[in-house]
Amino acid sequence: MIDIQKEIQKDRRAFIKNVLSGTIAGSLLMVIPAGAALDQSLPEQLPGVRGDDSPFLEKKFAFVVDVTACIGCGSCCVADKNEYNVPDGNYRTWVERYIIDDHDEVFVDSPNGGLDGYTEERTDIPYPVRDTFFVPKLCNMCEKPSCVQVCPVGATYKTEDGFILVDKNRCVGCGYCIQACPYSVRFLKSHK
Amino acid sequence: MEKKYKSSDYAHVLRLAVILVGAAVVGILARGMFLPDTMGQYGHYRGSDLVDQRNVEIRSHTNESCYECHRPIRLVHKAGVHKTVSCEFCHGPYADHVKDGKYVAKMPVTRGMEIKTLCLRCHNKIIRARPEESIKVVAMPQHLEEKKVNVEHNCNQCHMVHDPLLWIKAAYEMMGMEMKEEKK
Repeated sequence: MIDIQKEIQKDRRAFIKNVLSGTIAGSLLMVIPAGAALDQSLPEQLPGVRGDDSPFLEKKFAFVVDVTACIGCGSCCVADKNEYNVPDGNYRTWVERYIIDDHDEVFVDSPNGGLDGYTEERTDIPYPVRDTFFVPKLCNMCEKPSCVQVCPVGATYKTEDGFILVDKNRCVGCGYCIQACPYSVRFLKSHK
Repeated sequence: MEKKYKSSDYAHVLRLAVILVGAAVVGILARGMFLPDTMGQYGHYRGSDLVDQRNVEIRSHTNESCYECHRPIRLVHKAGVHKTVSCEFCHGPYADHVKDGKYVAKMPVTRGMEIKTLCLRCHNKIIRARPEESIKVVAMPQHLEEKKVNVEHNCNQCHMVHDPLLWIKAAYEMMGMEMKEEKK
Protein backbone atom coordinates (compact mmCIF):
# COMPACT_ATOMS: atom_id res chain seq x y z
CA MET A 1 0.00 0.00 0.00
CA ILE A 2 2.73 2.41 1.02
CA ASP A 3 4.75 1.35 -2.01
CA ILE A 4 1.95 2.28 -4.36
CA GLN A 5 1.55 5.64 -2.65
CA LYS A 6 5.25 6.22 -3.09
CA GLU A 7 5.13 5.23 -6.74
CA ILE A 8 2.35 7.66 -7.39
CA GLN A 9 4.21 10.44 -5.57
CA LYS A 10 7.32 9.69 -7.56
CA ASP A 11 5.53 9.57 -10.86
CA ARG A 12 3.20 12.48 -10.30
CA ARG A 13 5.40 14.80 -12.36
CA ALA A 14 5.67 12.24 -15.17
CA PHE A 15 1.94 11.56 -15.02
CA ILE A 16 1.02 15.24 -15.33
CA LYS A 17 3.51 15.61 -18.17
CA ASN A 18 1.96 12.68 -20.03
CA VAL A 19 -1.57 13.87 -19.54
CA LEU A 20 -0.72 17.40 -20.67
CA SER A 21 1.14 16.35 -23.79
CA GLY A 22 -1.57 13.85 -24.61
CA THR A 23 -4.23 16.52 -24.33
CA ILE A 24 -2.31 19.00 -26.46
CA ALA A 25 -1.51 16.39 -29.11
CA GLY A 26 -5.09 15.19 -29.14
CA SER A 27 -6.54 18.65 -29.53
CA LEU A 28 -4.03 19.44 -32.28
CA LEU A 29 -5.04 16.29 -34.14
CA MET A 30 -8.62 17.44 -33.96
CA VAL A 31 -7.78 20.92 -35.27
CA ILE A 32 -5.09 20.42 -37.94
CA PRO A 33 -6.60 17.97 -40.41
CA ALA A 34 -9.97 19.72 -40.49
CA GLY A 35 -8.82 22.38 -42.93
CA ALA A 36 -5.84 20.76 -44.61
CA ALA A 37 -7.32 17.39 -45.49
CA LEU A 38 -10.76 18.62 -46.51
CA ASP A 39 -10.05 18.49 -50.21
CA GLN A 40 -8.86 14.91 -50.11
CA SER A 41 -11.61 13.79 -47.81
CA LEU A 42 -14.40 14.91 -50.13
CA PRO A 43 -16.78 12.01 -50.47
CA GLU A 44 -16.51 9.87 -53.54
CA GLN A 45 -19.57 10.17 -55.72
CA LEU A 46 -18.90 7.20 -57.98
CA PRO A 47 -17.40 4.30 -56.03
CA GLY A 48 -14.14 2.98 -57.45
CA VAL A 49 -13.42 5.96 -59.68
CA ARG A 50 -11.06 7.97 -57.49
CA GLY A 51 -7.40 7.35 -58.22
CA ASP A 52 -8.14 5.73 -61.56
CA ASP A 53 -5.72 7.47 -63.91
CA SER A 54 -6.38 5.39 -67.00
CA PRO A 55 -7.73 7.48 -69.90
CA PHE A 56 -11.09 5.72 -69.85
CA LEU A 57 -12.91 4.30 -66.88
CA GLU A 58 -13.94 0.69 -66.94
CA LYS A 59 -17.51 1.66 -66.24
CA LYS A 60 -19.77 2.65 -69.11
CA PHE A 61 -21.91 5.73 -68.57
CA ALA A 62 -25.30 6.61 -69.99
CA PHE A 63 -27.47 9.67 -69.53
CA VAL A 64 -31.14 9.17 -68.80
CA VAL A 65 -33.94 11.76 -68.60
CA ASP A 66 -37.39 10.78 -67.36
CA VAL A 67 -39.44 13.36 -69.24
CA THR A 68 -42.64 12.33 -67.45
CA ALA A 69 -41.15 13.27 -64.08
CA CYS A 70 -39.87 16.74 -65.01
CA ILE A 71 -41.32 19.57 -62.91
CA GLY A 72 -39.65 22.37 -64.87
CA CYS A 73 -37.77 23.82 -61.91
CA GLY A 74 -34.83 24.68 -64.13
CA SER A 75 -32.20 23.53 -61.65
CA CYS A 76 -30.43 21.64 -64.44
CA CYS A 77 -30.18 24.91 -66.37
CA VAL A 78 -28.82 26.70 -63.31
CA ALA A 79 -26.29 23.94 -62.64
CA ASP A 80 -25.12 23.91 -66.25
CA LYS A 81 -24.63 27.66 -66.28
CA ASN A 82 -22.72 27.57 -63.00
CA GLU A 83 -20.51 24.70 -64.03
CA TYR A 84 -19.56 25.56 -67.59
CA ASN A 85 -19.85 29.37 -67.69
CA VAL A 86 -22.48 29.24 -70.41
CA PRO A 87 -22.83 32.81 -71.73
CA ASP A 88 -26.16 34.62 -71.43
CA GLY A 89 -28.41 33.89 -74.36
CA ASN A 90 -26.85 30.50 -75.06
CA TYR A 91 -28.27 27.32 -73.65
CA ARG A 92 -26.74 23.89 -73.41
CA THR A 93 -29.54 22.91 -71.09
CA TRP A 94 -33.02 24.29 -71.46
CA VAL A 95 -36.54 23.29 -70.57
CA GLU A 96 -39.57 23.76 -72.81
CA ARG A 97 -43.17 23.93 -71.70
CA TYR A 98 -45.68 22.24 -74.00
CA ILE A 99 -49.36 23.05 -73.81
CA ILE A 100 -51.89 21.21 -75.99
CA ASP A 101 -55.43 22.54 -76.08
CA ASP A 102 -58.53 20.50 -76.87
CA HIS A 103 -58.35 21.62 -80.51
CA ASP A 104 -55.01 19.81 -80.67
CA GLU A 105 -53.06 22.99 -81.11
CA VAL A 106 -49.64 22.93 -79.52
CA PHE A 107 -48.14 25.92 -77.72
CA VAL A 108 -44.48 25.80 -76.78
CA ASP A 109 -42.58 28.37 -74.77
CA SER A 110 -39.29 28.54 -72.94
CA PRO A 111 -38.66 31.94 -71.31
CA ASN A 112 -34.89 32.37 -70.92
CA GLY A 113 -34.48 28.64 -71.55
CA GLY A 114 -36.18 27.87 -68.23
CA LEU A 115 -33.20 29.33 -66.39
CA ASP A 116 -35.42 31.49 -64.19
CA GLY A 117 -38.00 28.75 -63.75
CA TYR A 118 -41.65 28.94 -64.74
CA THR A 119 -43.57 31.33 -62.55
CA GLU A 120 -46.32 32.62 -64.81
CA GLU A 121 -49.31 30.80 -66.20
CA ARG A 122 -49.85 31.16 -69.94
CA THR A 123 -52.98 33.16 -70.53
CA ASP A 124 -53.05 33.24 -74.34
CA ILE A 125 -54.45 29.73 -74.84
CA PRO A 126 -57.83 30.14 -76.60
CA TYR A 127 -59.36 26.75 -75.73
CA PRO A 128 -59.32 24.57 -72.61
CA VAL A 129 -56.00 22.86 -72.03
CA ARG A 130 -55.99 19.14 -72.73
CA ASP A 131 -52.45 18.32 -71.75
CA THR A 132 -49.39 20.14 -70.55
CA PHE A 133 -45.89 18.97 -69.72
CA PHE A 134 -42.25 20.00 -69.58
CA VAL A 135 -39.62 18.74 -71.98
CA PRO A 136 -36.07 19.09 -70.66
CA LYS A 137 -33.52 19.40 -73.44
CA LEU A 138 -30.04 18.57 -72.31
CA CYS A 139 -26.98 17.09 -73.88
CA ASN A 140 -28.14 13.49 -73.83
CA MET A 141 -24.67 11.98 -74.31
CA CYS A 142 -26.18 10.10 -77.25
CA GLU A 143 -25.24 6.55 -78.07
CA LYS A 144 -24.70 7.57 -81.69
CA PRO A 145 -24.09 11.31 -81.43
CA SER A 146 -24.79 13.24 -84.60
CA CYS A 147 -22.60 16.15 -83.47
CA VAL A 148 -19.61 13.80 -83.34
CA GLN A 149 -20.47 12.38 -86.73
CA VAL A 150 -20.49 15.76 -88.47
CA CYS A 151 -17.46 17.30 -86.74
CA PRO A 152 -14.75 17.56 -89.41
CA VAL A 153 -11.81 18.16 -87.07
CA GLY A 154 -12.58 15.81 -84.18
CA ALA A 155 -13.32 18.62 -81.76
CA THR A 156 -16.46 16.87 -80.53
CA TYR A 157 -15.83 13.28 -79.70
CA LYS A 158 -17.14 10.35 -77.76
CA THR A 159 -14.92 8.68 -75.18
CA GLU A 160 -14.90 4.93 -74.78
CA ASP A 161 -16.71 5.19 -71.45
CA GLY A 162 -19.62 7.08 -72.97
CA PHE A 163 -19.04 10.83 -72.58
CA ILE A 164 -19.43 13.35 -75.39
CA LEU A 165 -16.74 15.98 -74.91
CA VAL A 166 -15.81 19.18 -76.71
CA ASP A 167 -12.17 20.04 -77.33
CA LYS A 168 -12.26 23.83 -77.26
CA ASN A 169 -8.70 24.12 -78.65
CA ARG A 170 -9.49 21.97 -81.67
CA CYS A 171 -12.82 23.54 -82.69
CA VAL A 172 -12.72 25.64 -85.86
CA GLY A 173 -16.24 27.01 -85.39
CA CYS A 174 -17.85 25.56 -88.51
CA GLY A 175 -21.15 25.14 -86.67
CA TYR A 176 -22.09 21.77 -88.14
CA CYS A 177 -22.78 20.38 -84.67
CA ILE A 178 -25.29 23.16 -84.03
CA GLN A 179 -27.29 22.03 -87.04
CA ALA A 180 -26.87 18.36 -86.29
CA CYS A 181 -27.94 18.31 -82.63
CA PRO A 182 -31.55 17.13 -82.31
CA TYR A 183 -31.90 18.81 -78.90
CA SER A 184 -30.50 22.24 -79.92
CA VAL A 185 -27.99 22.25 -77.11
CA ARG A 186 -24.88 23.15 -79.10
CA PHE A 187 -23.81 26.78 -79.49
CA LEU A 188 -20.80 28.85 -80.51
CA LYS A 189 -19.18 30.88 -77.77
CA SER A 190 -17.24 33.88 -79.05
CA HIS A 191 -13.80 34.56 -77.60
CA LYS A 192 -13.72 38.05 -76.19
CA MET B 1 14.77 7.62 -134.09
CA GLU B 2 12.64 5.00 -132.34
CA LYS B 3 14.88 5.03 -129.30
CA LYS B 4 14.54 8.80 -128.92
CA TYR B 5 10.74 8.59 -128.96
CA LYS B 6 10.81 5.88 -126.30
CA SER B 7 13.01 7.86 -123.95
CA SER B 8 10.71 10.89 -124.13
CA ASP B 9 7.72 8.58 -123.41
CA TYR B 10 9.34 7.48 -120.16
CA ALA B 11 10.38 11.03 -119.31
CA HIS B 12 6.82 12.23 -118.81
CA VAL B 13 5.99 9.21 -116.67
CA LEU B 14 9.06 9.92 -114.59
CA ARG B 15 8.06 13.57 -114.21
CA LEU B 16 4.60 12.52 -113.00
CA ALA B 17 6.11 10.08 -110.52
CA VAL B 18 8.44 12.78 -109.15
CA ILE B 19 5.53 15.19 -108.74
CA LEU B 20 3.40 12.55 -106.99
CA VAL B 21 6.19 11.53 -104.62
CA GLY B 22 6.91 15.20 -103.94
CA ALA B 23 3.27 15.87 -103.15
CA ALA B 24 3.15 12.85 -100.84
CA VAL B 25 6.26 13.99 -98.97
CA VAL B 26 4.87 17.53 -98.58
CA GLY B 27 1.54 16.08 -97.47
CA ILE B 28 3.12 13.83 -94.83
CA LEU B 29 5.31 16.66 -93.56
CA ALA B 30 2.37 19.06 -93.38
CA ARG B 31 0.29 16.45 -91.55
CA GLY B 32 3.06 15.97 -89.04
CA MET B 33 3.42 19.71 -88.57
CA PHE B 34 -0.21 20.76 -88.31
CA LEU B 35 -1.92 17.83 -86.58
CA PRO B 36 -1.57 17.70 -82.78
CA ASP B 37 0.72 14.93 -81.55
CA THR B 38 -1.95 12.98 -79.78
CA MET B 39 -4.51 13.23 -82.59
CA GLY B 40 -5.81 9.77 -83.34
CA GLN B 41 -4.34 8.24 -80.20
CA TYR B 42 -7.72 6.78 -79.18
CA GLY B 43 -9.91 7.87 -82.09
CA HIS B 44 -10.53 10.85 -84.33
CA TYR B 45 -9.76 13.40 -81.65
CA ARG B 46 -6.89 14.88 -79.66
CA GLY B 47 -5.97 12.30 -77.02
CA SER B 48 -4.39 14.89 -74.73
CA ASP B 49 -7.75 16.68 -74.50
CA LEU B 50 -8.82 13.93 -72.09
CA VAL B 51 -6.16 15.23 -69.68
CA ASP B 52 -7.28 18.83 -70.29
CA GLN B 53 -10.88 17.88 -69.55
CA ARG B 54 -9.86 16.18 -66.31
CA ASN B 55 -8.05 19.27 -65.14
CA VAL B 56 -11.05 21.56 -65.56
CA GLU B 57 -12.06 22.81 -62.13
CA ILE B 58 -15.24 21.23 -60.84
CA ARG B 59 -17.49 24.03 -59.64
CA SER B 60 -20.60 22.17 -58.60
CA HIS B 61 -20.39 19.31 -56.16
CA THR B 62 -23.04 17.12 -54.67
CA ASN B 63 -24.77 17.44 -51.33
CA GLU B 64 -22.30 14.97 -49.81
CA SER B 65 -19.55 17.58 -50.17
CA CYS B 66 -21.63 20.17 -48.32
CA TYR B 67 -22.47 17.71 -45.54
CA GLU B 68 -18.74 17.26 -44.87
CA CYS B 69 -18.80 20.50 -42.89
CA HIS B 70 -22.51 21.22 -42.43
CA ARG B 71 -23.19 18.22 -40.25
CA PRO B 72 -26.33 19.34 -38.41
CA ILE B 73 -28.17 20.23 -41.60
CA ARG B 74 -27.19 16.87 -43.07
CA LEU B 75 -29.32 15.02 -40.56
CA VAL B 76 -32.32 17.22 -41.28
CA HIS B 77 -31.94 17.42 -45.04
CA LYS B 78 -31.18 13.75 -45.61
CA ALA B 79 -34.19 12.60 -43.61
CA GLY B 80 -36.73 14.90 -45.23
CA VAL B 81 -38.68 15.07 -48.46
CA HIS B 82 -36.24 17.65 -49.81
CA LYS B 83 -33.38 15.15 -49.76
CA THR B 84 -33.29 15.07 -53.57
CA VAL B 85 -32.95 18.86 -53.82
CA SER B 86 -29.39 19.98 -54.44
CA CYS B 87 -27.93 22.38 -51.87
CA GLU B 88 -26.35 24.32 -54.72
CA PHE B 89 -29.69 25.03 -56.39
CA CYS B 90 -30.61 27.47 -53.62
CA HIS B 91 -27.16 28.39 -52.27
CA GLY B 92 -24.94 28.56 -55.37
CA PRO B 93 -21.97 26.51 -56.53
CA TYR B 94 -19.57 24.91 -54.09
CA ALA B 95 -16.51 26.48 -55.75
CA ASP B 96 -17.69 29.98 -54.81
CA HIS B 97 -17.65 28.93 -51.16
CA VAL B 98 -14.67 26.62 -50.76
CA LYS B 99 -11.36 26.71 -52.67
CA ASP B 100 -8.58 24.15 -52.09
CA GLY B 101 -10.33 22.97 -48.96
CA LYS B 102 -10.52 26.47 -47.49
CA TYR B 103 -13.46 28.75 -46.91
CA VAL B 104 -13.36 31.71 -49.32
CA ALA B 105 -16.75 33.39 -49.41
CA LYS B 106 -20.19 33.39 -47.84
CA MET B 107 -22.93 31.56 -49.70
CA PRO B 108 -26.08 33.48 -50.58
CA VAL B 109 -28.99 32.71 -48.28
CA THR B 110 -32.48 33.51 -49.45
CA ARG B 111 -34.39 35.55 -46.89
CA GLY B 112 -37.70 37.30 -46.52
CA MET B 113 -40.35 37.09 -49.19
CA GLU B 114 -37.75 35.84 -51.68
CA ILE B 115 -38.18 32.50 -49.97
CA LYS B 116 -41.74 32.38 -51.23
CA THR B 117 -40.59 33.06 -54.80
CA LEU B 118 -38.00 30.32 -54.50
CA CYS B 119 -40.51 27.81 -53.13
CA LEU B 120 -43.07 28.63 -55.79
CA ARG B 121 -40.51 28.09 -58.52
CA CYS B 122 -41.19 24.38 -58.05
CA HIS B 123 -44.40 24.18 -56.02
CA ASN B 124 -46.64 26.60 -57.90
CA LYS B 125 -49.92 24.95 -58.85
CA ILE B 126 -50.84 27.38 -61.63
CA ILE B 127 -48.04 25.92 -63.71
CA ARG B 128 -50.08 22.87 -64.53
CA ALA B 129 -47.33 20.98 -66.32
CA ARG B 130 -46.04 19.49 -63.07
CA PRO B 131 -46.67 15.77 -62.62
CA GLU B 132 -48.24 14.95 -59.25
CA GLU B 133 -45.98 11.92 -58.83
CA SER B 134 -42.92 14.18 -58.79
CA ILE B 135 -43.94 17.07 -56.58
CA LYS B 136 -46.59 18.41 -54.24
CA VAL B 137 -47.96 21.61 -55.69
CA VAL B 138 -49.87 24.33 -53.86
CA ALA B 139 -51.96 27.24 -55.00
CA MET B 140 -51.29 30.57 -53.35
CA PRO B 141 -52.99 32.06 -51.40
CA GLN B 142 -55.60 29.26 -51.35
CA HIS B 143 -53.19 27.01 -49.45
CA LEU B 144 -52.90 29.59 -46.66
CA GLU B 145 -56.68 30.06 -46.51
CA GLU B 146 -57.20 26.31 -46.44
CA LYS B 147 -54.75 25.94 -43.54
CA LYS B 148 -56.49 28.87 -41.79
CA VAL B 149 -53.41 31.03 -41.40
CA ASN B 150 -52.75 34.66 -42.25
CA VAL B 151 -52.44 35.08 -46.03
CA GLU B 152 -49.42 37.32 -45.44
CA HIS B 153 -47.47 34.38 -44.02
CA ASN B 154 -44.20 33.31 -45.57
CA CYS B 155 -43.57 29.64 -46.43
CA ASN B 156 -40.81 29.22 -43.87
CA GLN B 157 -43.10 30.24 -41.03
CA CYS B 158 -44.68 26.79 -41.12
CA HIS B 159 -42.23 24.78 -43.21
CA MET B 160 -38.61 24.27 -42.37
CA VAL B 161 -37.01 24.86 -45.75
CA HIS B 162 -34.49 22.00 -45.48
CA ASP B 163 -37.15 19.49 -44.48
CA PRO B 164 -40.57 21.03 -45.15
CA LEU B 165 -42.58 18.51 -43.17
CA LEU B 166 -40.34 18.37 -40.09
CA TRP B 167 -42.30 20.87 -37.98
CA ILE B 168 -45.63 19.82 -39.46
CA LYS B 169 -45.02 16.21 -38.50
CA ALA B 170 -43.86 17.25 -35.04
CA ALA B 171 -46.99 19.36 -34.57
CA TYR B 172 -49.26 16.50 -35.59
CA GLU B 173 -47.43 14.21 -33.21
CA MET B 174 -47.79 16.64 -30.32
CA MET B 175 -51.50 16.93 -30.97
CA GLY B 176 -51.79 13.16 -31.22
CA MET B 177 -53.22 13.43 -34.70
CA GLU B 178 -52.48 11.41 -37.80
CA MET B 179 -51.24 13.09 -40.94
CA LYS B 180 -53.38 12.71 -43.99
CA GLU B 181 -51.90 10.35 -46.55
CA GLU B 182 -50.94 12.26 -49.65
CA LYS B 183 -53.11 11.29 -52.54
CA LYS B 184 -51.18 9.63 -55.31
